[in-house]
Amino acid sequence: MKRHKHKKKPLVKLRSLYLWHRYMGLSAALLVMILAVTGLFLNHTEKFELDSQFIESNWLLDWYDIEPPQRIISYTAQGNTVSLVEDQLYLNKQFISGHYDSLAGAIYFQDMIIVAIDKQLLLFTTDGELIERLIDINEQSLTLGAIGKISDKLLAIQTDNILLTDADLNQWQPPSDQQLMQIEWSSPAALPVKAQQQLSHRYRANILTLERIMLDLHSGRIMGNIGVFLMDAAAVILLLLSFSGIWIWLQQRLKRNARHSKNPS
Amino acid sequence: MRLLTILLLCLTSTVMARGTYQEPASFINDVFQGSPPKAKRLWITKSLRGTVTEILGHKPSSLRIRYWGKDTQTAWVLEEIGKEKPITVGLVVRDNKIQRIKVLIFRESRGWEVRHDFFTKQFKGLALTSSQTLTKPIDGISGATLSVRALTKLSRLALYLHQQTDFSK
Repeated sequence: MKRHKHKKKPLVKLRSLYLWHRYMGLSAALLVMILAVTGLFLNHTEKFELDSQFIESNWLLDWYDIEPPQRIISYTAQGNTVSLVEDQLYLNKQFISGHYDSLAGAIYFQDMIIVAIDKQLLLFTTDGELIERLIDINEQSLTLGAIGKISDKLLAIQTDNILLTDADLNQWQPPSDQQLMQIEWSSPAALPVKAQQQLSHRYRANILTLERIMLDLHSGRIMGNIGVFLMDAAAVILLLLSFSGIWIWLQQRLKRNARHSKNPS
Repeated sequence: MRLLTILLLCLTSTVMARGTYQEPASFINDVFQGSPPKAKRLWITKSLRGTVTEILGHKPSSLRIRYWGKDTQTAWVLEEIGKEKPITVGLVVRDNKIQRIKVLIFRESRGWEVRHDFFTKQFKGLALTSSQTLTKPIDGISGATLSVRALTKLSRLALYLHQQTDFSK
């Protein structure tokens, strides 16, 4: 048998490359679509506000191992509940932006809800609108330990010392012995189980952003190491597709040129 | 070993970049040479809210803002989120121009370069145009775009709020 009989004809070779090209394209199609769509979103993160949209789906939060909070501290003021859930602050069910360490209390004073937290006093309307953040006491930055009041006229805070102020909240002074006895301090309140569960869910639903999901879908990390490997494979297949596509196009063009030069008419 | 040293240096500089550079109360004391006037409060009324929202690009976070004023000068401690966390900035406006701007507390992991004088000195002497923009553009810092944007917004806001006080005459 002559050796040249075993050689594949160029047409068969091209057809087999074309088939490879087709199957590679089909196998990578879904991953490439994910790459393309997530890439488009990530390119316009700000426009789509991906970093300020949070995931509430329980199964996704579980998938990311986002644990329920270990610490919920609550105070009540005129029927409003102020809670520190880990480092997140809530007025009733409303999330208050920022990260906090230590909730010292909350009190209803002069038609406001005043929250003592870390080194600041947060003043809210009863509708939950932030009126002001007071970040200094007598031009000093002091960590707050407790908050209280004497009737609705004087507000009290405990730092290293106990200080009193009036409705202006400008000048703080030590109380007299008689005033000291009259202060009603804010004390922690026990939340009903249902309210705790709602806060727990809100806490978890305030951690995972849509941007994180997009990034993890794009890189494949959402599926762990296997996902990263799959996305790597998709990238390699994309490269091979480009090469095989160019190769097929070149072969067909060369063939057409050859045919054209044989039969110029 | 060299790579480890570089990594450690990068990590240390990031950690050191976050933090309190000056307590707001101490900034106010500095501005008024140790005897600050009584703090005043400016309510963000309906008539101001539109412009404040336009300057910030979002609704103001509080209904009133505290400031300190003397003669034709006001001092403000304002906050704006860079990427994720608020940057606390002290601003002084005199004769309707920025006199001083200082980053007091920086909580983000990136963009801390805005605290340097080479950046903040660009704001000195700038005023507000009729369309509430600064009279000169601010040169950005690569890698600190959002922090630069936050400081620019706050300087515009301080200038606008100053105009609403009795100290702007």
